[in-house]
Amino acid sequence: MTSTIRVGRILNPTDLRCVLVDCSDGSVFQKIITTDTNIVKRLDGLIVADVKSIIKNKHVFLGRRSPSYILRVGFEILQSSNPKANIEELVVEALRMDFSAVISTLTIGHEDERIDSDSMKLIAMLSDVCYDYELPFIVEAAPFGERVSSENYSESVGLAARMAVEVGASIVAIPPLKKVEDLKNVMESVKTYTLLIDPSSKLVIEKMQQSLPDILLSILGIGLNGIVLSSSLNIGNPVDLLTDVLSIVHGRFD
Amino acid sequence: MSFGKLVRLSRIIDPSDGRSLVVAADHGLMLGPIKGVVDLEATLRKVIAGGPDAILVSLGQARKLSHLFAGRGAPAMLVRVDWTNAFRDKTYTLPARSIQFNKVATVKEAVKVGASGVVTYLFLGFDGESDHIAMVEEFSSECKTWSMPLIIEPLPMGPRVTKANYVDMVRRAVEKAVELGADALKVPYTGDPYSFKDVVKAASDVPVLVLGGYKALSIRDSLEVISEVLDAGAVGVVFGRNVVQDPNPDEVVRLMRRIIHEKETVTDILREKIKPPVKILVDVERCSGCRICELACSFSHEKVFNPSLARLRVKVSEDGKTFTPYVCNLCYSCVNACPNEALRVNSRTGAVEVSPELCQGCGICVDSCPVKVLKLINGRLLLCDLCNGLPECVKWCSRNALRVEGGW
Repeated sequence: MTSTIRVGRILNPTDLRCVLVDCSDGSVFQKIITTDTNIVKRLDGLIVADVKSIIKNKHVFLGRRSPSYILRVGFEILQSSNPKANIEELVVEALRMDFSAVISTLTIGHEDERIDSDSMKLIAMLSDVCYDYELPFIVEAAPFGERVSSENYSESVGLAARMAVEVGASIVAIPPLKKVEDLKNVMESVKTYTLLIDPSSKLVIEKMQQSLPDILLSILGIGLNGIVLSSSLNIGNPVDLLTDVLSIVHGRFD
Repeated sequence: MSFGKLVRLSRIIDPSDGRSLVVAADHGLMLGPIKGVVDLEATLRKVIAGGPDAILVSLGQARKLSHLFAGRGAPAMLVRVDWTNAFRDKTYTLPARSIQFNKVATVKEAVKVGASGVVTYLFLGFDGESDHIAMVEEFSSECKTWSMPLIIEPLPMGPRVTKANYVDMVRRAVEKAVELGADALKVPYTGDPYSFKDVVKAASDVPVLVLGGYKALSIRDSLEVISEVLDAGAVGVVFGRNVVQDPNPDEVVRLMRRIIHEKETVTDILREKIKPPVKILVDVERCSGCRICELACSFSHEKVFNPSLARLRVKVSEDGKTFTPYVCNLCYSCVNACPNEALRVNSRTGAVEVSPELCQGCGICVDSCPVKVLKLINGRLLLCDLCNGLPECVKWCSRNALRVEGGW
């Protein structure tokens, strides 16, 4: 079960779209928050690796109209002696801090298939605990192991996305694909809220030639629910890019 | 305060002005399907259109109607975590014979559904007081664990509560609620701003929201209470029946918002709402004979408190027990009776006006008035001008014995 209220803080209920910014490495957050607080307030959500940056800039997150914040959970939690207990502890803490969702990456296609397996194990455990606590769970379905090639990329994305949905993801984020038709096929196979991973992200193997606004304009119409921005914000002026992306995604060219 | 509590509380009390308008819609849990909550979804859709900061519901309704609370800018959800039969008086099915109460939801469940706060009663003045305090302590501890704001509703309740000790009991209950860890309070209005200021002081900086209680006689009453409590230091209100039982809950919420967030005055709103011509309605049953209407009228027109100069009168029965206010009923007998055509009807307000140049002070109009509210003093005719659309007598009548046609 997933809290409708929390999903509604991420995906705007009026258009079911969102613009999330991945600040889990810290630098993006500092860059945009110091440039323009107002643009941060217009975002639908920020992804962070811990609560420190949120607390430090709490003025941005107070009030009913503030952006949501989403907790990134990494692979390292599996290395603890009791990962399930640690995950539960983490989810409870996320709820206490009023995070709106948890996000993690499902990576497949590694030569050592135990990595794929461990990744799936993490996603399954997170999904199970998030379901118990009604916390939305976002999975980045990102095949980037050694066995992933340009030949099998779109099928690998489709496989990872479908695995994420089967294991219980509330929202799936997928990398852009060169052919819009391939992207459409992946979306049809997942049938849940789907976001686009930033084309410049390290999770994306198949790099695109078009600019980010052009990519968005060409694929939003097929039913994508938004984007998770990250590395693109390190190129050029992040505020200008965010303004454009917000306008394109929410259809408000203000 | 923990960060989780701070963020959640900021959804209830607007950080931009520190004020809040909460609508209570949890009545079904205590009173059954009363008017306004039968089709709760339909009612809440209208309420939400008015823009409240938060809505209080039971956990069952929270789960069923959570889609209404989704989206940035949507009202925050508050969940009632306890139940009592204490409000089931003789007008309800199965009136309470003894005060019973119970936990009906956990804070964890409220957190899971996405609520921004939980609400519980704290009754002081009845036999089960210590058990009730223990229950609130449990909620307080759960709220601390989950970083969930706890809104305590401290209420004097039971046979030991009297009119004489009520205000003191409210103050003591508020102090107890603060001790128990309330992050905000939902407090009954003590009836006057002076005693209420003491209640706010007893809250020691814990935000005070004032509850609406029984359905008010008019929207004007509700707005005046809101205005008074804000002046006395409350941060907002939690109004239920006055909103959900109104035929236009969205409009009521909008008006309340104007007082709470836009800092408009009741008079501003009344002037806009009461469109002349206005007619003053009298409810004899409600008149206490305080005669403040006469004082308000004389002061408004003559700048003195002198009932004999008022444009209305209150008649006392021979046994001194009943009081009947008489006001101009716009019959225009005076206009028709005037031989000099000195009286005419103001086309905008509907009130009768006198032309001093034409009036010869003959007094025929005074004799013609069927309710005897016209007065001729030293050759000057005193007659009701409806105060340009917002009669002072109506504004000051605390018991709603005088009202303006249309509910205002």
